[in-house]
Amino acid sequence: MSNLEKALKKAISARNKNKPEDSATGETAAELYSEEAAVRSKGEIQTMRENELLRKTDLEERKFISRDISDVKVVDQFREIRTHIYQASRRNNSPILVTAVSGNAGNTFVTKNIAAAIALDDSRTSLVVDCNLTNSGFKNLLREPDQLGVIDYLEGGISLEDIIKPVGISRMRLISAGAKKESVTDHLTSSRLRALFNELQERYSDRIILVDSPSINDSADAKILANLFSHVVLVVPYRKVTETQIENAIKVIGKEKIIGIVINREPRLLSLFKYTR
Amino acid sequence: MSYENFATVVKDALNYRKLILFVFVLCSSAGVAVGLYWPKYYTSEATIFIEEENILGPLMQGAAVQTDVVDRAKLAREIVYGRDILLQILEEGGWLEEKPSPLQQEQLLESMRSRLVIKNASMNLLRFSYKDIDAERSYTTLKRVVDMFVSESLATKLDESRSAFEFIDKQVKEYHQKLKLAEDELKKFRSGNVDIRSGSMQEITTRIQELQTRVTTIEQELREERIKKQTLLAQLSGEAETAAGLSRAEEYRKRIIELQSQLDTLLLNYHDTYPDVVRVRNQIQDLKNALKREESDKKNNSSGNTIVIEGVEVDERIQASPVYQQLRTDLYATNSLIQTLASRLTDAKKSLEIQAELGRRTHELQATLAELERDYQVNSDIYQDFLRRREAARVSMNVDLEQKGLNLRIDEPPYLPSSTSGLGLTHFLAGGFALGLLLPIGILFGVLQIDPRIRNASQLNQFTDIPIIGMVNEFYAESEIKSIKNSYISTFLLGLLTVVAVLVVALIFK
Repeated sequence: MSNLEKALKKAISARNKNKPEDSATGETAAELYSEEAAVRSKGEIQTMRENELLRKTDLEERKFISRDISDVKVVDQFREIRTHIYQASRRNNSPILVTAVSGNAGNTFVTKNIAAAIALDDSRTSLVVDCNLTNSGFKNLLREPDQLGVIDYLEGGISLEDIIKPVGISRMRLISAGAKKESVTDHLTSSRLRALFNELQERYSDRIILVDSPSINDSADAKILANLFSHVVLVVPYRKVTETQIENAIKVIGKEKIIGIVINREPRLLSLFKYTR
Repeated sequence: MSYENFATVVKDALNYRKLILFVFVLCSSAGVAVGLYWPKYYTSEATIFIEEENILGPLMQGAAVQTDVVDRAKLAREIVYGRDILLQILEEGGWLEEKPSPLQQEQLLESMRSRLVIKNASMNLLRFSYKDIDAERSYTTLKRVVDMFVSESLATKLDESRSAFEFIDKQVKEYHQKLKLAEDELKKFRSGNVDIRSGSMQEITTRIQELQTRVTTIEQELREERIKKQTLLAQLSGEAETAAGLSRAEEYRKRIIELQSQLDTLLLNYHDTYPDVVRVRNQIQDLKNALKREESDKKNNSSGNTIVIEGVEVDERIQASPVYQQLRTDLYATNSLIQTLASRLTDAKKSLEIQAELGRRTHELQATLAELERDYQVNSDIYQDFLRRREAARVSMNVDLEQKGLNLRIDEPPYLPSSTSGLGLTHFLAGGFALGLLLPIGILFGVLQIDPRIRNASQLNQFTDIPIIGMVNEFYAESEIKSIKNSYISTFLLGLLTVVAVLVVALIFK
């Protein structure tokens, strides 16, 4: 057992002292195995700084998919979306904007789980950039809520490395929105934002960059962001928006930019009984 | 409905399971509550075989046209739903013991009418049914209704046959009167015109024909005689002239010619102065003078000794001619014949006129007679007919009186109903359950039809060709899955529990 593994195991067991020992080890063993495989497969990725990885219950709590969670159907659904993302970003690794037709569509959920699905693949890494500056959905993922993020970077004085953070999943990183909240639209229009993405694109050419944004019909920020990116995934919440709203969103984004539509929060029929372990 | 729509509805149903459960509980409870409080009706039934035919029908067959009677149930309702009968039934059933107000009484009647149903079961079967919350009362009331209907019908029938008899009797009397009148008139006419016998007209015709022949014959004869007379007269006048012309002038000329030749002979031997010659010459002169005189006499017609017969002057001198005498005899005979014929003709014409007049009168009288006889015959026929019908009606009436011609009988008598009829508790329970399930699902369907919000890929595909790269379900942690599963199961169990509870309640309070 390597030192890294030992350290990981120690940390995890420390965080879950209340849990029965056997189950904890059982669950983490799989996680560790996958981690090991990942490390073996690609040298570059190996260098990624992995902090304490999240355990299964934490993943479920944070609504992250993983290999061994109970609800396998959702994992499959995200794997399928992942395939489409691969096809879209094959050429130049341009960032993919994920936006919703209207608010409360579970946009962040879709973004982070596409990223997580990509991270399930040993040969890929993903980076989520949280551009929902006013109403970030990623705060609960960070151990320290006031970590540096996009806004801080745009204001200057810090390097990229300072804002790229691990989320407790192998091969997945996050750039949070940042602490400060004033006049965010101004930040979005600044050329530094463009520069940020150019830099990200160049520096991490193997990473698939996903940008989480506010919903397109509710926020001016989303419209600015939609202009900035050439690949967009549109999230349509189940039974919440009308045809007109969707058409409007498509018009604002530009039809040719949209990779595809994801219908989110479709209620489950009996698949809960069928696909869960 | 596409599978997708169906799946959407089921998904929505699972989503709104609590609401659906609530509606289900509500509907089932309402079903059992209404079912328990719904009055239970006992229906008693009876069928009556009826061969009702208007008694006037067969009696008046051919003589009058009957209206068709089809809807027996309607007729029966008219009898039974009548105020008198229903009131009687209400009274006997004890409904009127509490002395209800007229309004309440009216309501009672109306409710009775609605509960008492009379239908045509088949051509000749009438079905009576009556429902009541009390089985016993249902039976007794229906029995009473049926009995009253039968007796009322019989009474009506008797009434009908009696009125039919009375009607025909009246007709008989009327026609009897008419017949008598016709008879009297005929008698009077006959006694007033004895000479009018059947066949007299023929005799008159023969006689007229004879007379006409006779008149024609006489006229012919008369014409002939008149022509004969004309001829005779013409002959007579011609003969007279001839005779008159010949007699003197001819004699004179003959004599003159003789004397001339004598003179010529004498002159051969003698001179003019010879006495003989002179004498002959004188004689000739005398004769010539006499001839001259004669001719002038003739011219003046003033001989005086002429007689005129039939406008023809006849000289006395020619009357002696035998031909003339003969002609005159013929003329007299012809004249007398014409006289006779003329008087005979007048007689014949007179009697012809008399006969023609007689014939005309006979014609009129015979027409009148024929009319009177026809009247009499018609009246007599109808009278005879009515007499027969009256006897038939009398028999019918007697049959009805003794109720032997009964064509109304209770085919299936009323019975005491043992089970309730109509909507029962089970219906309401089933209805409640069905409504509890179908109402929310129906509403979900309706909402799906009119809700413009996008639910599935096919709805999206209808207006955009952007590919749908994924459908994502809500992500549940293991604990959440458990709780959701439990929620499904508990909802289902609660539904089952509701069904059981409702059934138990139904059984207890039944």
